[in-house]
Amino acid sequence: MSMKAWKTLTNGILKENPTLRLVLGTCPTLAVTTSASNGIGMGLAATFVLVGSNIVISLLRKVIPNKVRIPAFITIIAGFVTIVQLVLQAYLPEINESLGIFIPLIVVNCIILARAEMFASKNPVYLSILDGIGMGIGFTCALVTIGAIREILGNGTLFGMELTKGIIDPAIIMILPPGGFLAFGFVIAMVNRLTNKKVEHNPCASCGMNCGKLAEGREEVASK
Amino acid sequence: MLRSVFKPAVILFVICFVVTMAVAFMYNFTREAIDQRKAVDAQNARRQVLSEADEFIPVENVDVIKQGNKSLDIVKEVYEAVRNGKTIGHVFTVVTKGYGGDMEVTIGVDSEGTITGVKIGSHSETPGLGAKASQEPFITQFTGVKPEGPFTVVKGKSSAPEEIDAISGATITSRAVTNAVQAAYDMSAILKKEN
Amino acid sequence: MKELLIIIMGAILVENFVLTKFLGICPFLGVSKNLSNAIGMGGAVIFVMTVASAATWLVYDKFLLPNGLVYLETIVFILVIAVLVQFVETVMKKLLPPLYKALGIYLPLITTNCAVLGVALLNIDRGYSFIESLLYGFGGGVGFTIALILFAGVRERLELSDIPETFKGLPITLVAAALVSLAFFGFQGLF
Repeated sequence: MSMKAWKTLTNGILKENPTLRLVLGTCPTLAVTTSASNGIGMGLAATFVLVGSNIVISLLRKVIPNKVRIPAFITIIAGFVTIVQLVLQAYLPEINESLGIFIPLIVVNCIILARAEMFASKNPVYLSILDGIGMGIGFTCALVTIGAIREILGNGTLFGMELTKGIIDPAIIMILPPGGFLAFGFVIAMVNRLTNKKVEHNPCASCGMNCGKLAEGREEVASK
Repeated sequence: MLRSVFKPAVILFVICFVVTMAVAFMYNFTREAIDQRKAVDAQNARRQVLSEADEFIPVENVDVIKQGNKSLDIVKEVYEAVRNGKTIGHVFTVVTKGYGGDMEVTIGVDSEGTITGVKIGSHSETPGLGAKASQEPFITQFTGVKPEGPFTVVKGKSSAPEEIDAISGATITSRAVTNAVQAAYDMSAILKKEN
Repeated sequence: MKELLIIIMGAILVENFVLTKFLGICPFLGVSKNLSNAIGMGGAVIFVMTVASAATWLVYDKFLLPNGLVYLETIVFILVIAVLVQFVETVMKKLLPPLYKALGIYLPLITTNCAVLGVALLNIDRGYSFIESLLYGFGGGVGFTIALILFAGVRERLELSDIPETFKGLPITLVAAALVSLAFFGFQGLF
């Protein structure tokens, strides 16, 4: 694999991990990490959509006019999300049940839209595939990490296997909403510590496009 | 000028069309599997709550049997449990309103009026709280109970089989499931009278 | 009547969209730094969530359901929301310029706000009627705004505190959010 290809693939896992460094897709990160296996389920579903939409958008990048690119991206992403929904309903209904409303919400997962905008629409297909896979793996790893922490502390299990039964009573708060924020906060703090670099979360109204490009674009329009 | 609006609109339309076609194709492809899976799950649930039955025959005219009783509105399906050609009880599919939305509850009642089993299917209850309703020790409280009076939900030790110990922190869920079992029991009483 | 009140109060307090359901986190963390931004974003979200609830409910009930196209729910809803937001923005710009100046910049970004698509999907999931959906959308938006404003207050205090280096920025924000979420948890069992 060429240097560029390798860099593209590993980018999403460490350097630009979508959850822990770019801080995209925070809604599912908090909601779905009540157990490690939920984390894997969501991670894989999102990766499928990410890679699929990256491929299609990259193939069509010269064809989609700039004016309608966001609606076009959304339509394509929504198509892949619906396919995932149907497949899960048919063959893996337990995952469908536990992830619930967050499966269709993959459509507005900032990670996917952001990668479409920042990468797939500007790069050839094979690189877009690698970017999708890399970002997907990064997302899944982050989800599983946070999910594992919450599951062990909050339920005493890991992937459903009993760990602390009889030894420590689990702190249920960890699998409830406050625990989600807490676990995520501590993991980001750890990432800060390990990388000695602060995680930038751009305080603009954008839920994606971490540099608020959309907001800036609108500012120009609004001032007219 | 019109051209600059026309071309993007057309391309967007084509993309929408292709995506919709692809999704429709997937839908038809998976529809059979989805329906089959639902049927198998429902049958398994029935087997679990009344394991002695050989087969379950759907009962028609469920609404007529309810006799306009509002509290029985939540009972959606009734199945006759048959063993060796004899009716040994009924299984009810009830949809009750839990904390996070509808809960699907399957309840088995034998011809003596004893609850043989309760199983919770799809629900949107809080994991770690209301979701515990589908596990022991909550759900097994109903098994083997032949109620002398209406079911009630209590907090703390229950002193009679009809008193159901609520899950601490999930009273609404506990009540919802108990309502479902009550409705099923009432339906079975009506059916017993008819025979 | 009591049902409707429960739906609204439930959406605002007991199952607050941001602090309990985790919908709308990205703008929640991004916009709550500044009180006036928070109010602006909140207003826009209330408006969009209410109108989107109405629009998606109608599309579902009058078009998707009767034609057996329920599986297209996700695609159709997100497109309805995107179009709606675009439309609202255009109309607001023309008819209510001062309001547009205040809220306008947040509008296009609400398209990707999980709370909007989330509430549309929840309305259908729970089998709400048109009025119930409208109220749930409104209540959800109000809950979002309240959480946002409360949190803006918390963050302004945080700015003045001495925070360990590792936790500066996002981590302490999340820990603060955990505490606010915990506080809201006290509303559980309200009804």
